[in-house]
Amino acid sequence: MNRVAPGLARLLATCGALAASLLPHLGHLPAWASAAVAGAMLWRLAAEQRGWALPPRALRLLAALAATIGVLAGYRTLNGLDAGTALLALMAGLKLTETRAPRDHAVLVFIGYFMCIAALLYEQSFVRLAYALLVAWLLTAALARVHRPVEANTPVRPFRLAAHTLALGVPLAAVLFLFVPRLEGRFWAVPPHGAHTTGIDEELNPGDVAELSQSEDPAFRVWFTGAAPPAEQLYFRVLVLEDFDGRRWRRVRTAEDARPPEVVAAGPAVDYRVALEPTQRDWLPGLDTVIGWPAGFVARGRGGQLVYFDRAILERRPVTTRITYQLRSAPAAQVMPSRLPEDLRARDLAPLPTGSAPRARALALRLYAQARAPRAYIERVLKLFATEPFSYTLAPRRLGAQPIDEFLFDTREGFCEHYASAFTALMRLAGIPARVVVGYQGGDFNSYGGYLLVRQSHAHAWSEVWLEGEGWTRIDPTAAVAPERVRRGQLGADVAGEDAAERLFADLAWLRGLRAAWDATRTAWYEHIVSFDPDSQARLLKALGLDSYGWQGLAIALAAGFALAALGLGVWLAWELRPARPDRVQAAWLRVCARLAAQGLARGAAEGPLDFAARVATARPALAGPFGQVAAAYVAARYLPPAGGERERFLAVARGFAAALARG
Amino acid sequence: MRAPGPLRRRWAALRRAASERVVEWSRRRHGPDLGVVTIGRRRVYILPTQLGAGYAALLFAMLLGGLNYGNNLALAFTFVLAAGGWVAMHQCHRNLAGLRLAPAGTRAPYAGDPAEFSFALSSAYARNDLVLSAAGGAAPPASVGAGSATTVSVLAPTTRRGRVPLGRLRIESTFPLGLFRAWTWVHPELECLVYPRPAPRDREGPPPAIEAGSAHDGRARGEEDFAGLRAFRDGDPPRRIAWKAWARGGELVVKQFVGAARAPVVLYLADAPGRDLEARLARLARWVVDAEERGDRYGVRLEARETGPGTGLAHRNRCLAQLATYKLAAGA
Repeated sequence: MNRVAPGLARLLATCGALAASLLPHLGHLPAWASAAVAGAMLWRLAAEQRGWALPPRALRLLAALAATIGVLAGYRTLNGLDAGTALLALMAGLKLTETRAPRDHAVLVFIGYFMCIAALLYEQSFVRLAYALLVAWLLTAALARVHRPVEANTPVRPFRLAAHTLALGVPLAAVLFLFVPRLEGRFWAVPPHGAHTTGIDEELNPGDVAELSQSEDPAFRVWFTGAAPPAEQLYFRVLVLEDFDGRRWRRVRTAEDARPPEVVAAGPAVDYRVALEPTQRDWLPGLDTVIGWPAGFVARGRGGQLVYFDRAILERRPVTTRITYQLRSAPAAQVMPSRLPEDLRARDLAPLPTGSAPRARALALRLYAQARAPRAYIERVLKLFATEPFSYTLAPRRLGAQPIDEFLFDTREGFCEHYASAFTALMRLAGIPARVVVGYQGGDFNSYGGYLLVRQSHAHAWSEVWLEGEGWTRIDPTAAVAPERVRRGQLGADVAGEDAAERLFADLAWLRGLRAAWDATRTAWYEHIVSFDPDSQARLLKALGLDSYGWQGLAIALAAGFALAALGLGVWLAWELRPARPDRVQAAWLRVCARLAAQGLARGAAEGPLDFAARVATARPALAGPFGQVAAAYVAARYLPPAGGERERFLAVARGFAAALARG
Repeated sequence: MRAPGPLRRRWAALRRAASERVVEWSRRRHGPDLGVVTIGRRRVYILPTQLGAGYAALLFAMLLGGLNYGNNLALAFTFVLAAGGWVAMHQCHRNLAGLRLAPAGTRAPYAGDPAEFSFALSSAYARNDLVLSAAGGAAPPASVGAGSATTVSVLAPTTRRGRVPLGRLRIESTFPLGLFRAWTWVHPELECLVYPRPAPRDREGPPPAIEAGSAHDGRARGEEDFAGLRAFRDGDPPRRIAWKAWARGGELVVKQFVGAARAPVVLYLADAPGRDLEARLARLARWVVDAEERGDRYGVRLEARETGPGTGLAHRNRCLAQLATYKLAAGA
C-alpha cells in the first residue's frame, strides 16, 4: 500500500468533513453554488497531488466578489439563514483555494461546524442531530490531524482521538443542555426562512385544482386528557372563508371578528394539548368548538396572545417553530342559537355575483320551494348529492367559467372543497346564512404515543349554516357522497378504489405499526428534546428539589452537574491512564536493577539492558559475567522473537543473580 | 520587510520582560531541577492557543444563535463541542503532568556547533506530541509510549570552547486538538563541554613530535585489522567488547586488533605555533583529531597536566576535554 502524502491526507480529511457538513444544505443551496464549492474541492485536491500553484490573491478577491454578487442576486439579501448559508458555503470553497497552513484548515473546520448548526436551524429532527454529531466528529478529526505532527498521524488515529475527546464530553454536554437557562424571547429578530406553507391555504378555489396532493407530513398531534372523541366529531377548525366571488372563497378579517363565541349548552368538554408543526401562518387548529384555554398558557417565550376569530383561534404572529398549546373544546356546543348579529348575517348571506351560477339559482329556488324550511332544504340538497351520480375523487376535471354550475350539473366529481363550496353557495342562494370552514378532519391514533396524529392529508373543508334556534350548525356535504371519508377520517383515493387500498394496508399491518412506532419516537423526541423550554427546566428543578431557589436553582444544578462531570472525567482519565502493570519478566528485571542501584549501580533512565550491562561490567568486573547473563536473558525474553522458554530461563537467572547479590 | 515601529518594539520588550519575570517566578517556585524530574501537575501551565480562542468565540456565537432561535438541537450541538473542548483541555494538561525527565548525557560539540543535551522522557502511560525547546531551538515533537522512555535531544548554540550551560528547558504540547497549549519550565542546571574547534588542516604542518617519531608502516588505520579475541579486562573500552558473542550466552570477550600498538606521541601545547592561546589550542585539537584518525597512540600535555597516552574515541574526548577546560576564564 502506498502511503498518501501528509499534505494530501490533511486536505482529504478537511474536504471530506466539510463536504459532509454541506450535504444537508444541498436541497436549498443554489445549484451553481454547490457546483462551485464541489469544483473548488476537487481542484484543490488535484492541485495538491499535481503540485499546481494556488491562484493569486487578486483572482481570489475577484472570485469572492463574484460569489457575493451571485448570492445577492439570488436572494436579494446577504442576511437570513438561506443567504447566509449560501455565502458561507461559497466562502469555504474560496478559502480552500488558498488553504495551506493549519490555520486555513481550522477556518474550514469552523465553517463546517457552522454549517451543522445551520442544518439544525432548518430542521430539528433526530436524524439531523445524529448526522450533525457525525459530521462534528469528522471535523474534529480533521482538526486533530492538522494540529498534530505528521508522524503522529496514521490514517485512523485522528478519528479515534476525536471520538474519544467528544465522547468523554457527553456527560458535561448533557448537564449544560439540562441546566443552561433558556431565553424567554430573542436577542434579535429572526427573519422567516423558506416560507413554504403547507396544508391549508387562506383561500379555496376548487375549480382550479386539478389534483390534490396527498402529503403524509404531520400537521399536528393531539393528546386528549380523557378519552378521545369519536371520529365523526374530530373536526379541527382552522379558518372561516366567507367572501365568495363565484369562483373563490376568501378569508375576511375584521376587528369585530376577534371576540369569544356565544356558547350556550356547551355539553361535555374535552381537554387536550396540541403540538403544531410550523405553518408560517397565524392560525392554530382547535377542535370545534374551542371554549377556552388556561390563562397565560400557550407557547411560552413567543409572547403571543390568542384571539377568537369566528371561533377559529389566531396567534398574533406566524408559527415558525413547533409549538404546543392547551385547549378546551365542547364538540356538541350550540353557538349563537338565538340571534345572528347583523354584520355576520350580511356577510354570510352576501349574494353571489350577478350572472354567476344561473342553473344553481334555479335549482335552489326549486328545492326550497319544495322544502319550505331551512332544515328540510338542507336535507334535500344532501340527498341530491347522495342520490344523483356525484362521486368523490382527488383528481377531478378542471372547471370553467361557471364552476358551481359545472360541478353541480356537468362534472359531478370532486373532493371536499367542491362539495363544501357548492353546498354553501346553494345555502346562500336559498337565503340561509352559510360559510365554508377549512380545517382538518380525523387523524391516526398512535397507540405507542397515545396521541392523535393529524396529517396534511387530513385537511378538509366543510360548511356551516346558521339555523334559527340551533345556531351555527356544521354540515359536511362530503359525508353525503363519501361517508368513508368522514368515518375513517382518511383522505382516500376515489371511493371505488378504497377497498383495494384497505386490503393492501391490512396486509401491511406491520408496516403501519412500524410507521406508528417511528412517529411515536419522533414525537417523544420533539416533546422532550426539541421542546425543552424554561417550563421543562422548572419541572426538572422541582424533581430535583431545587425549585424553591428560583433562578439560583439552575445555577446550583449547573455547578453541581459540572462538578460531577469533572469528577467523572478525572476518574475516567485516571483509570484510562493508569500505569501499565509490569509483567513478571519486567518486575524481575526491575528488582535486579533495584538491587544493583542499592550497590551504587543505578540504571540510567534511557539506558538499555545491554548498555547497562556494559557499564556494570566496566564498573564491577566481578559482576560482568553473571549480570551479562541476566541482561542477555532479559533481552531474549523481552525483545527477541520467542522460541519458547525464554521467560522461564530469564526468571531463573534473575532469581539466582539476586540471591548471589544478596549473599554479597 | 518593514522594520518594526518603536511602539511594537517596546511592546515586544515589555512582553519579553514579563515572560522573563514569569519564568523567574516559576523557577523560584519549583527550585532547581537536579537529576530526574517528575513534572508535578502544579507546575504544568495551560492556556488556550489562538486556535482555542477562535474556537471559544465560535462556540459563543453558536450559543447566542441557538438561544436566539430557541433551537434546542443547535444548543445541544454547541454543548457537545464545548464539552469536547473542555475534555481536550484536561487531556492536554494530563499529557504533561506526571511526565519524568532525566538528563541522558550531553554530546560535546566543537565550538560553533550546537551542543546537544539529551533527555530521557519516560512515563507510565502514553504521552503525545511533546516539544522540548531551549533558548537555542526546539527539538522535533516526540511521543512516549506507555511504560517506556524516549530520548530527545535539545540543541544549544555555542560560540567558543569551554562550558555552555543549558538555560531553562521548556516542555510543551498542544495535544490533542491544538486548542490548548500546556507547558512547563524545567531548570536542569546542565552544562556541556565545548571542544575547541580544530584548526584547518592545511595551514600549518603536523606537530613536530609526530613528524619525527612516527614510522608509518603503511597501516594507518590499525583498527581495521582484526587479530582475535581475548578475555575482558578492566579498562577495556566497551566498544571493543564482542557483544554478539556475549549475547549468545558466552563470556565477555574483547576484540583485538593489530596495529594498535605503536610508539606513543605526546602533543605539547608548546609545540603549537602562534601567540594566541585559543589559536594554539585549536591547532592542538587538530593534532589530536588527526592522531586519532590515524590510529596513533597519543597523549596531550598542557603545562603540568598530561592525558594519555592512549587511543580510541574516549581517549580522544578526554584529551579534547582537557583542551576545552584549559585556563578557562571565569564565566566562560
